[in-house]
Amino acid sequence: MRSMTFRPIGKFHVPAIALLRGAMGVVLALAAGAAQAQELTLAVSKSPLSLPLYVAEVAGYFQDEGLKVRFTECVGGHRCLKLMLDGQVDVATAGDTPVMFNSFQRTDFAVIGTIASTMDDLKVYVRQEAGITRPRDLARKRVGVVIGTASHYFLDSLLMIHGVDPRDIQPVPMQPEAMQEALQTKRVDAVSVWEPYGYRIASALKTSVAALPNSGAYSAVFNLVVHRRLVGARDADLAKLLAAVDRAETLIRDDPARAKLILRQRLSTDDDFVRWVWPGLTFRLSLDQSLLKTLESEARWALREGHVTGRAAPNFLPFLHRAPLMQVRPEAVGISR
Amino acid sequence: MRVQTQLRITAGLALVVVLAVAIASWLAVSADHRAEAEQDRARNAARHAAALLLLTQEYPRYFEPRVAQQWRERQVALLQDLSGRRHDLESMRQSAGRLPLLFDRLSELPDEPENAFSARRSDFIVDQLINETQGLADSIYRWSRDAAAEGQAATERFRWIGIVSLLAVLGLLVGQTFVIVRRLLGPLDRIERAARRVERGDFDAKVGLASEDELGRVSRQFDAMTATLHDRRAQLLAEMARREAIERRLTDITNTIPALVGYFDAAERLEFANGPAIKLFGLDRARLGDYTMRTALGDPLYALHAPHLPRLVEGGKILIEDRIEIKGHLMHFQAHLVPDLGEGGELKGFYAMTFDVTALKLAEERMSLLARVDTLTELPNRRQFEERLAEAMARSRRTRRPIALMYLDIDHFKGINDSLGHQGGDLVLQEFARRLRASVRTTDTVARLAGDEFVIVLEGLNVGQEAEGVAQKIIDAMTPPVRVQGRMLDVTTSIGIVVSGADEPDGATLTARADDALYRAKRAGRNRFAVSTL
Repeated sequence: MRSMTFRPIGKFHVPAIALLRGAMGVVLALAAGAAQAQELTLAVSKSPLSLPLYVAEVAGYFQDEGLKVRFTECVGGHRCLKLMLDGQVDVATAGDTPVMFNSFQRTDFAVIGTIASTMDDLKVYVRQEAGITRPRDLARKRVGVVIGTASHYFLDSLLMIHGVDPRDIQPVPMQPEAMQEALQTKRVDAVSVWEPYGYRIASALKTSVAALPNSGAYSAVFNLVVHRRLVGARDADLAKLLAAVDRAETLIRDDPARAKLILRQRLSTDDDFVRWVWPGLTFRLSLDQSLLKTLESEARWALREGHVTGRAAPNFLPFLHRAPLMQVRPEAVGISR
Repeated sequence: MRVQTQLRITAGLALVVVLAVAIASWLAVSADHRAEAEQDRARNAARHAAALLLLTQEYPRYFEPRVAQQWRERQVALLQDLSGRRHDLESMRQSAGRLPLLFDRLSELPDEPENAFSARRSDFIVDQLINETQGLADSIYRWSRDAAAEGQAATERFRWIGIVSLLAVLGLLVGQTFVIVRRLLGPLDRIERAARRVERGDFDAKVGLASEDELGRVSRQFDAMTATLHDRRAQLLAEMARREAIERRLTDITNTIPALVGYFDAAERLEFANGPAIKLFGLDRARLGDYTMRTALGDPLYALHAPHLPRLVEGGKILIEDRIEIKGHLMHFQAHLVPDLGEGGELKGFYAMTFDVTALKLAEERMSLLARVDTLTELPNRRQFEERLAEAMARSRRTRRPIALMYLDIDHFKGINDSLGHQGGDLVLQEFARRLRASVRTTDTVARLAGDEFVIVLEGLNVGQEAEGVAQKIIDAMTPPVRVQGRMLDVTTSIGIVVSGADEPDGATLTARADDALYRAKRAGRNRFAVSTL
């Protein structure tokens, strides 16, 4: 809707635009009526990074766009992505790491946009008793990690940067919701986890755990991933989805207090958590070259470290579907073809 | 609302609009400048980010110190360009601030022992550095786009502020014009039109503005003024009509009364003359002001008035009774001169009211004839004389004693009359009669026949000569001068005498003989007597 050929160039055009909008609204309504207003199902990760989707739903932006959506909640992008790939939903929220891993096995999905990024969503929490005060101390320790996710990549990144060979630790694969107990029962010495689980562990275990200084240079991004069958066929609905998200992100920037309230309610958490997590979050709809580079470098890492089998990283370009975002906000598309 | 108030409000609005426009323009210009500066910084940052990307790819090949130095310089320059309070700048700053950590690790690699891990680590760190730098570059690109969009928006806003300012000023001008036209020019036009109607004498003209402003007040005062003028004019017209009616009535009266009415100013100029006067003196009605008393009345009549005029200054009324011949007729008149004195007692003019009393005089004379006594001298008149003469003649026949009849007149009485006037003449006649009566016996009859003609009947004479003695006595009695109007006048008389016998035929014959003797006395030189010789 925002990429209309009539640029608003002053208030004299407002009536014309309103008329056009009205006309388009009628056309869209007719089209939607004809298509029986097909529902779009979303698997939404229970994460602060999903805030734009929560806001769009609460503020009624999906309805405004004439889009009927249904949310399915999941813990972690890797699970949401799996729901989508299993055909249970149309769209999933997922970080870059699960996208990269899945691209080695299948090609029936595509990223239509990045909705958020964070610099300190991921942290490594260590048990105080384990004698770990810096990343180097992680060598030969048991570290809880969610394999094939940002948790996995972040841990390796931290180790690599600080000169610890990831093969020198004892990774303990587990899901994020199991990590608090694993630390408590000393099944692991440390965990690599994302929010809001990090905050929950820190709040629950208090002084018995500590977060390692986050000097890892890893900016996680959160994306909307769609099933391949939607590409082209339901671009119009995808554009509506992105338009609603775009409006939600504008609301988050313009009215952060309301956005924080929505976040607190949706994650059933408290103000302290929101205050804790908020500064590192950036909500900006995009489809950038850096996503491509990140996927490529992560793919090389996965190959080097033997997390995947294969000779070379896949070409990620076909995994990025630009058309819907081009329709909504062309300047947000940084990938040239 | 008063016009003054509205003009003040408009001026205030204009000031507010101009101030608002000035402030808005200043803000827009500042925003434009800020956006431009921001765009410059974003462009610089993008350049540094691109350079960092290239240097990051170049460095791991040979680990040249020059590349490392350039990388660090670029990174510092980039951080400087990323200063600012924007939320996305903060994240970019954090991102850029973390790059040296990775780069330091990378630059340490050549010093570390070469093994499989160090190779993997090198690849990882290089990839990570490139990722981060690329992410930064993407963010900077978006920032640059945003800055450009903001700059454009600022320019747009500036343009619109210009247009809106122009429209606002135009609106104010139009509003001001509307105020002037609606609230000033229209009402002024109405007032002007009403004033013109008043100028043409139409006091019904009304402006009729109901507004509560200054012009409304002026309008109401104007309407009140014309209403007053209208009433005043009606009053004046009524008064004029009343006075005209009075004047017409007075003129009618003066024209109707049997009198000559006139008004002369102090210089004897004629200001008014009534119809009879105009007719009698043959005046030109349209040029009354051109006449003086002398030219209006004519010299003879004026001569009868002129001696009295100086007394008008004293303020007294003057009555002139006289007679004059006009157009062959003798006219007796009675003129009343009444002074018109000013407040200071000065003579402004005088009224002249002259009544024609000729008829009255004639009637008086006829009455006098019919009566037995002359009213002037109180002597028996002709009628009584004739009776007495007849009686005396009858007695003379019975007693056989003679009677004498004297016929007298005053010598040169016409000259006396002319020099003293009739009044003077009358006084002389009265004195003459008194002396006659004193010169005869009470039993004798002295009578006045007419004018200066007198007769005396002497009875019981012993001889006819006794009559001559009486005549002489009369002539002597006239010797003392008569005092008339302050003048001493010599009055003489001529006497004709007839003495009757017993056989006189009648009184008329006797009278005729006496008159004849008088004629002879006159012929003989006056102031003497003559005796009828027959």
